[in-house]
Amino acid sequence: MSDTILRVGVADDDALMREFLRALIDGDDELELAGLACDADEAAELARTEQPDVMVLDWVMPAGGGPAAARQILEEDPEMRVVALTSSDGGEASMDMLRAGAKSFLVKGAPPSEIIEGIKGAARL
Amino acid sequence: VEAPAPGRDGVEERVRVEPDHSTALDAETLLVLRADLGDEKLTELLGRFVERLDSRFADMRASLAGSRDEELRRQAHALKGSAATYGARRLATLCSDLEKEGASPRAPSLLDDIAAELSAVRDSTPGRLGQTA
Repeated sequence: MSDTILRVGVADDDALMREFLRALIDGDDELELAGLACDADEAAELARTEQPDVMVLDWVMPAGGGPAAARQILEEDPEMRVVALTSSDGGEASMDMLRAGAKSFLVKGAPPSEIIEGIKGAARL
Repeated sequence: VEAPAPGRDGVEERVRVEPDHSTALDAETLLVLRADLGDEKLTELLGRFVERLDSRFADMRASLAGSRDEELRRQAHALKGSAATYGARRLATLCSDLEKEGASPRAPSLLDDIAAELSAVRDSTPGRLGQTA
């Protein structure tokens, strides 16, 4: 893992959320966008090819969603940090993602600073 | 939006309440976004969100018409996330309801409410951006 700049991959099937997260990451000096994916298969491919420090995975996505992506990513690279991102779906989403290996959980609609800190925090775990 | 109201014989009736266009976007959420993203980026992203509301709504209508339950739930889920991000709280709640309902008999009424709320979000956006600047 890099000492200063964290490379972050983002997977969300909603183009608007991808754009939003790109803007947050681009606006932070300690983060660098490693790539964007729009389903679980693309997320796994992005993780494999770009080797980001942290992968942010939406819970609901085509091709099995965040849990499928997390399992695949962590099977290939157990050291990679996976952060779950979803709407406020409560316990089911968080349990689903944490069981799949996510280190932490971010909620859509949270202040940008919380999202950024959540990504950085996962890298420190 | 429907709200419960006391009816005759103590039975609640559902009455349609017109959305309040002045509160369709949460001012505090936009202030926080502005502080973190800056005026220019917020205007750009919020503009894109509003710009795509019609096509997203059309997609949900088409999914319901085609009885594509899973697709409808996924579309409602996606719009819920974007709506929550930009402080469109009522829209997020309605989308959450639609996500849970799927292509049920209640879905057409929910889509009508969503259409009204989309209009409120669209109408309140320039004012809200002005207030945050």
